[in-house]
Amino acid sequence: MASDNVVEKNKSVTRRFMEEFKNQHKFAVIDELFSPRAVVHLPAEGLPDGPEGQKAIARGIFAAFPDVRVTLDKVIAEGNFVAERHTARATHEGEFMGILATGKKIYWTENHFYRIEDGRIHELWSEWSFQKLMDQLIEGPAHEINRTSRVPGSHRVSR
Amino acid sequence: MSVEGNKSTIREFTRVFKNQHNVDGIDHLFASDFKHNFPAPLPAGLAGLKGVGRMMNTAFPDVVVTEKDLIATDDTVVERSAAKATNAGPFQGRPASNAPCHWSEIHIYRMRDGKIAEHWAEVSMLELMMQIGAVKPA
Repeated sequence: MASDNVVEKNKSVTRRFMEEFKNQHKFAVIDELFSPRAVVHLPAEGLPDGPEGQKAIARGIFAAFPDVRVTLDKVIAEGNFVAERHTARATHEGEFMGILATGKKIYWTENHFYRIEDGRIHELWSEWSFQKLMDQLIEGPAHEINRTSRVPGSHRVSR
Repeated sequence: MSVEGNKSTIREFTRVFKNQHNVDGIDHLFASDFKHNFPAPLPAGLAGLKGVGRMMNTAFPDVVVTEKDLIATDDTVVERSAAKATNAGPFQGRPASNAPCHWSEIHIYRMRDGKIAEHWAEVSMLELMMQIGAVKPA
């Protein structure tokens, strides 16, 4: 059974993943925090396996929601596992799942489950509130976007 | 309540509510001020959770949920599970597709005195919607 010390170390791995990768966009942190053979179960199709898949899905998120900030709602750890709940808040500034930028301020939630061994993530399962996000994106008219979207081809409003 | 006691409560909930499709057999597992976190317009409390259960049991009457991992502290349980079912009934305004479906779930339960006080569920809804034909793959 993992000691309290290992449990606290495991929690700090997931905290770094959230803060340094999701909020600060430091891609190198993925290589540090994940085993190269990590199995990453992502809630999307057609992505590369392993940590590269995590990087790929994040690129899509950062393009659609460049100001996204994730906050930690809950963290629970036992043995070699950590579970977390997050809220992500962002402005919809780039195409996402076929919906062109709307400029809306949106949020979604995620529950994660990590298996961590020797201070590295070996497996990650991720579930997110797809319906809750889509409902916000399609409800009501698009908002005027205050800066040029960074995604080529998506809706632009000139100032 | 102990970690093991909290885990037993969640295992009983999954077994009775989901696998025995007995939405009314679980009241004793919930605190009287239980709060779910499903979106509106569901009623608050256990009535709202039962509404979700009935809706799922109607849409997926043969659903079997398998626990994959379960962790707990003295006040929280997290359950990771996999579900398999046939979409044999209407779901979210769509008629039955009869498609074989599988999806994954991660549930967080806040516990108080061995009972479930609050619940946050996330499931692979996009995957499920693609399987029933409600969303086309990219």
